[in-house]
Amino acid sequence: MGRIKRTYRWSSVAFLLLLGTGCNKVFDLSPYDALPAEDLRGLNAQHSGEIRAALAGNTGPLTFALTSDPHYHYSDLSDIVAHINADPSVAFTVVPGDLTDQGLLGEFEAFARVAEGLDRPWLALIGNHDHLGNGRSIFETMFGPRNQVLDVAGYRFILFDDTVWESGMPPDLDRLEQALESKGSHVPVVITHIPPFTDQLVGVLEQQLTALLVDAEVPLFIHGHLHRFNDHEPYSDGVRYLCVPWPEDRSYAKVTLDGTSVSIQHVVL
Amino acid sequence: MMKLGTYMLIAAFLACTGQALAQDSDAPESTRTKWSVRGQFAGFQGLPSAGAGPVLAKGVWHPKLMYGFAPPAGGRSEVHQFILRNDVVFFPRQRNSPTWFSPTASLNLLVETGRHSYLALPERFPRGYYMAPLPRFTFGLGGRLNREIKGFGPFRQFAFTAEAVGLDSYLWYGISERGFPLHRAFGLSFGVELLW
Repeated sequence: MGRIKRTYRWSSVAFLLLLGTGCNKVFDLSPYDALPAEDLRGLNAQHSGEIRAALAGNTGPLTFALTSDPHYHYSDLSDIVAHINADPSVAFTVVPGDLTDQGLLGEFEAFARVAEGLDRPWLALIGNHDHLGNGRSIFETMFGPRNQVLDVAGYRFILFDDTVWESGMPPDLDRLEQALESKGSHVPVVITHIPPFTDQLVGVLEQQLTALLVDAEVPLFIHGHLHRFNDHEPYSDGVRYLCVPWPEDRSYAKVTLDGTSVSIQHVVL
Repeated sequence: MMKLGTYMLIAAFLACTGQALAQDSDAPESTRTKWSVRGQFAGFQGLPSAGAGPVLAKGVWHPKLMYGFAPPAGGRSEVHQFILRNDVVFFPRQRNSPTWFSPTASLNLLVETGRHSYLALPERFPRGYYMAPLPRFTFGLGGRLNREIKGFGPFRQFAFTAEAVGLDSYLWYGISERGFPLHRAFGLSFGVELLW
């Protein structure tokens, strides 16, 4: 009986120790913790550098992939990552927002771990859901500024945070205007999460945003938020709008730019 | 990394072992405890959290009302939350031994009263755009080392607990999404309890 008791006690101690080895992080103080793992910080800056290095001197057509709103669907996102990896024409991938559902640290980290499976660089933009809780702070630590400009291969990619309700502030249209005005000879491509013709922006902000796009002769405006692939010109003003599908659709978008010429492909898995 | 399945196997093993050692939940009324106070570290419930509650169902069910606090850190402001803990202690007593172990499970309701969740939906949102208020829950699986004590005021039992605690959304992702390994749903917590 004594031997059984000793075995039982040591098993108990081993059980408690094993609890610690299995956890994601050692300690979670709150559902709203905001400090990402060290290897998941400053990702957009790191990946932008990789894109610039990979495309230095490139003067031909440029092809990149887009998948948006991966919240809830990290398994489908894994499959899309594998599909993109198998396509050698894709130079980089952009995810235009809603990386998470509730702006939780674990969601951001889960998304980033899956996206890091891409074997070429990728960029992420903040979406309206990513502003919830401490999401904005987590995004800025994990990816960097919410508004970014990337000049590469003759194009200016402007990743612009246009969330209104969840951010509690209007989009910084002055910053967008500056980015468009200073584009020089680069062809501008604007990427946001929310399109101007829906809920949060419709009205004055919609008019201001679309006027900026027309004035700068933006050939392509890319957004997420609506979850379904759509390639259209809603305002008949010369600006083409691409709605990037979410992973649950088992599809993503592939864009090829050649000067101001835009070719869009809806890739279905 | 260990997965939850492994934990459950170990817990089941210990539960069986404990059964063989004649755990006794039908202890005489005089040896039962009726109240407990608990202090805890981590487990999504605050850097420290503390509270108290009755001991019910012959020592098996330990509900508690707790308060948890986490100071500002890593880009988040301070967290204040109320917690309704529900601990299940599978073996509240062991015959003929002042020290014993029991597997435990807990299901806990968290309501954050700081600035991180909507207790009332801000006016800028359309009515019903997000669910509000927004309580959260955690599920814990762990163990507890119990010891009978004497000469420490009214207290008759001391317990040290350790749990792997998973948050609602993370558990759902862990179960439903290949891209979210289940072990990522869990964090570790430690607690101490005094019972009388």
